[in-house]
Amino acid sequence: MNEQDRKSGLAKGDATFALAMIAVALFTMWGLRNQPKAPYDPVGAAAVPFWTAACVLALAVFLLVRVFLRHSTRGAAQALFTANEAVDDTYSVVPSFSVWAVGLSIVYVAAMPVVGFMIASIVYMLALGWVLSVRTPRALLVLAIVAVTLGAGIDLGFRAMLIDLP
Amino acid sequence: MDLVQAFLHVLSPSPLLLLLLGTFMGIVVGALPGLTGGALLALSLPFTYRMASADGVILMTSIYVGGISGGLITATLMRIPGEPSAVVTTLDGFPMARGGRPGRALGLGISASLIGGTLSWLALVLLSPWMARLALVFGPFENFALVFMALVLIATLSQGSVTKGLLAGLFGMLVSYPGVDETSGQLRLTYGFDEMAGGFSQLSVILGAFAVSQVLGDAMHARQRFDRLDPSLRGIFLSPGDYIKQGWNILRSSIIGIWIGMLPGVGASVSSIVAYSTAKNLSKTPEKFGTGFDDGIVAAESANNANTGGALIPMITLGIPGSPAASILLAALLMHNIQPGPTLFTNSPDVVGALMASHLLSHIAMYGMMILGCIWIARLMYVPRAYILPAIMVLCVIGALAENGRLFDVWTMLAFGIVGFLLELASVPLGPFVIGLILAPLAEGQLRAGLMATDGSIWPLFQRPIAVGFFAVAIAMFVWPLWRDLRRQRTPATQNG
Repeated sequence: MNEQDRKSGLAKGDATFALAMIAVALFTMWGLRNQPKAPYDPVGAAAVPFWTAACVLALAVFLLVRVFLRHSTRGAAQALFTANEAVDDTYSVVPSFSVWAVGLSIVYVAAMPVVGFMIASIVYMLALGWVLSVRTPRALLVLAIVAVTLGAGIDLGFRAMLIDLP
Repeated sequence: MDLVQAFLHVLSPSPLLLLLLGTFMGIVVGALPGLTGGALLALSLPFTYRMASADGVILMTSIYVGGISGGLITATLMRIPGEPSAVVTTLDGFPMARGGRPGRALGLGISASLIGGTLSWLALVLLSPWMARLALVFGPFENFALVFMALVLIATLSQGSVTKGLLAGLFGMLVSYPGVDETSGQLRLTYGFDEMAGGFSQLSVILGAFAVSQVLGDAMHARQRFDRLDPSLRGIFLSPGDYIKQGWNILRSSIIGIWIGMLPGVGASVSSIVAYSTAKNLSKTPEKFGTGFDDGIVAAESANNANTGGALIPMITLGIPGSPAASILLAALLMHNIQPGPTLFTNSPDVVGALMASHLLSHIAMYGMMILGCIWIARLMYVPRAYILPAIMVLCVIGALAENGRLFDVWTMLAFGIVGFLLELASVPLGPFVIGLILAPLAEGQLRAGLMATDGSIWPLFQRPIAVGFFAVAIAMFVWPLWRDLRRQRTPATQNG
């Protein structure tokens, strides 16, 4: 990725972040519209969240304007201290693995009340491990042992500690 | 607070076991690239529920110290910093290890970590009571101004854009508001959902932001492989001459680490960068830095361990965490219904004592474990992430369930894990988000208590010198980087024109 692409990606990320923050601020303000006032409290329960949302709105608009005007939004340009980043590019980064991790995690949590914690956890560890592993027979055998041992072990261990699991 | 009693308690069998376990786990996670001590702290938070408060603090403090220290092992041997704070250690540690002296490189780093940590423990013990006494004169407005200043400082001093840092902090504050308003007892921002009456569980949000987001991000790097290593440990023990030669460097770097640690929200990585730069700037042989030079390793490692004690000082005396990792420690105290601040020393002296004693003892334990086991710990890197990441995710789920047994908390954790992952992708710092989440209830409570006392008038806030001082610092810290950035943008234009 060259410097131009990196800057462009960062600007898109900043714009998306600013828009998301504007949405969050407006949603908060909307949620506070009917908040009643307490008789003994001079500002009420809505005041501080409303002020915070207003600050978020103002800063997000400011960030959006900076992106629009192509002013630098690079962290290093504004931070008081900057760090060196050691970049190791000797292996391939696979972004789809993160997408798989998100998807499988959602399915895992949704399945937990249906099939129970132990089964859901074992299947989840097997599935995510399968996606992430190199898939040699040895790796898959180890994965299966790890998943079953941990899934059953954690379930039994935590039930023994009286932690309520689905 | 009787420090001797605290040491005796920590050295009794069960707390000592917790301390050794926490330090070891911290070192291991610190050494592994990707996973950080902060994630482990978040992950271990729910497991402290059933412990006595002092024991929970011992476990968390030892993980904190171990996590900061472990990063140097892989940074030195493989140029892969296990922790962000160990990035600077790679600059001289790796060239020295590659040049045939891995034992000496590790020895310098481990010894500097121990001395830096010990000096910061001294600062913690000597400065905390003094700072707590000072904070006793603060009223609600001063406390609010202090939290306000802390939030601005966190956003300004953390690495990244000031605007994005502030937005992240304010976003964290917004996340803390739903549920029952403690001052009026009214429900707010529940949007008609019964589950929201209790608000978002702070633990679930922290677990999501620190641990789940890291698992999701780390999944991308699951195919990363590391070279086999078989280094010798010759030279790992330093001679008395080495300590004398490095004395001033260690002292200076440790003071830098302690000072930066005390600034709200600034982590150990900034300490090591500033200490390394200072050592290089003041050196008679700056050209040797980056080539495997003793002074570089010592400066970086003594500063990042000194940061730990510095970060704990404002946390226990003012309730303001000095680093993102310290904010999780703060959350642990709050979950045990312990309010950090000046009264902590009188209300919970056992907790203060346990924290101080375990800080020093875990540094000593860290030294022993790393001297004896650094090579074996480094080899844990070969365990494929395909086995580790799913297991961590399952532990996160357990952590979220442990608080109330509600599936809603697991969904909250997952949602904030995805949010945290996306924020990291957009280069938005997560530290201010978590600190905003933790400090918002304190800031709101103090402001509203002050306003109730003045019948809603805000002006007394600006008539109190201490509060005005905090506001002045906050405004200066906000304006300075923006002004500096503006000047930087104008300077090339002027030169070109």
